[in-house]
Amino acid sequence: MIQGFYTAKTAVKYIQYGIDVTAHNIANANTVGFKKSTPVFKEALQSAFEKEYPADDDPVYNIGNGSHIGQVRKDMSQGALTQTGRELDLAVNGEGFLTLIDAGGNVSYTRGGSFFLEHRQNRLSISDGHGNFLVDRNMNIITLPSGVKEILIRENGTVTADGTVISRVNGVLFDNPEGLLIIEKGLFNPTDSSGEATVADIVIHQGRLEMSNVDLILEMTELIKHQRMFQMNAKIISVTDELDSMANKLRK
Amino acid sequence: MERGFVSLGSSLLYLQQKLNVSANNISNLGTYGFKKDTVIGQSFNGILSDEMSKNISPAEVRLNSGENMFKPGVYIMSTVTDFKQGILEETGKYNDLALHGEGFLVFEGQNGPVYGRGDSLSVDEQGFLAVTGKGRITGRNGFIQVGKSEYVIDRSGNVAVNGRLVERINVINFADPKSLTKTGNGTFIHTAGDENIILNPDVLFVQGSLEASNSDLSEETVTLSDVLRKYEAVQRAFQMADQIYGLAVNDLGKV
Repeated sequence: MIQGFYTAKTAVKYIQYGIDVTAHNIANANTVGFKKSTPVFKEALQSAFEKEYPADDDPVYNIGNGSHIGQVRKDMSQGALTQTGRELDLAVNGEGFLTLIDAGGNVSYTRGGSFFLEHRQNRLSISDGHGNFLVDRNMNIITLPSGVKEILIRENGTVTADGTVISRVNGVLFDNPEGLLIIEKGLFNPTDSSGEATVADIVIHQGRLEMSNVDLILEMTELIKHQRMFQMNAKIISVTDELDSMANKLRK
Repeated sequence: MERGFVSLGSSLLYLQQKLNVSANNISNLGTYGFKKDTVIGQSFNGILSDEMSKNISPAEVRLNSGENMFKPGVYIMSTVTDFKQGILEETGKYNDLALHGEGFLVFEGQNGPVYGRGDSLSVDEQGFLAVTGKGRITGRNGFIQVGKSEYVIDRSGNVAVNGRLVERINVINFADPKSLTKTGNGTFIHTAGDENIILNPDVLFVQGSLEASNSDLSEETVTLSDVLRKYEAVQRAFQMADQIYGLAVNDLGKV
């Protein structure tokens, strides 16, 4: 088969992945706290072919072998903050994450979302509804006095229950937030690339939610771009196929 | 007798390689920093006259190049990279860097320097500015240490961290870009001597943008149709030659 067949195949395959990424972004255009991703295409390695009549010093010429996805880049930029007025809707403005811990002691990080009051071992704590609890700066689960009426979380993270300061939310920063691993439901885990969490002052808004940072217009242009690229590569496949069929008919 | 086959066969191979290069250009339509290639072919006559212009007789040419010399047809001289500027796409990310104008960044590769256009920058473990898979970026006086902070790159390549100038990114150009060999992944290696290097060419650094591929969809479509039809024509000629030889072999002596 002609090499171009496989060259175009690489692109067709990876552009499909690219469309998958775009589709995931569009599907999450209204997901609270969602961070979009972009596929980054890279050039594949070159093959060297020997020249029949080398005119210069270089006895070979190079032909590329197509493309592949080098990485899927996360875009950690800020999403729009919408006012909900709900007491336990929290959003981080600017860089930073809130720290959560589950019953097994596993730590994860989030950009915020809707939290709920939950009784855990007869103590009232703030949970994300999936078994992860908001912790304070000493990594202890924040406990509220039972029968609390008004919970106030200030911009700097101080938690006040009925007028008494009881705790402070643990805000953290990462050296490279783009390197964080999304586990599920808007939770992030640190990786080697993101670095370890460092406690920092972050800005928290109570009664607000951070919306998805997906820009639908941008995603639609991405989709059109990928569609055209896909078509063109599919055309290459059909042309190489035609050439091969002609080669097969060289001898009638 | 089989010379017709040889020259037609060489043409088929040439057209296939042309298609392969076109396929690679199209495959990399979405690759940032990609530079398209073109195949340069030459007819046997051209090669012969090139050889003869070296002031030796055709007989000597034949002797010098041995049996290879009796192969009429079309042969590939080289694949040439077109370094035309790609469109700059704004990404808004501080770690994206695009070059506008003719020039290359110098990366400290594992086996000596490699050259490339702008890319998404990262910071390696020691805090030096680098590109994954290419190596550290060299500045005028060594590597560029930015640490973990956000950096600002101005139009002339000065890297500043927290308002303090760290280093100026080194950029060079080549008098004869043909001496650059593509190695894939957007990198080039340089094979000619240092006299080919032009220091500090006029290049604009654009932070927060990436340079799109310079492959041209319409141009490649034309190449596709061109290759397809020429291949068809050669195929027909091949079949005709086959018929003629068939006549010569089977029917010539018949009464």
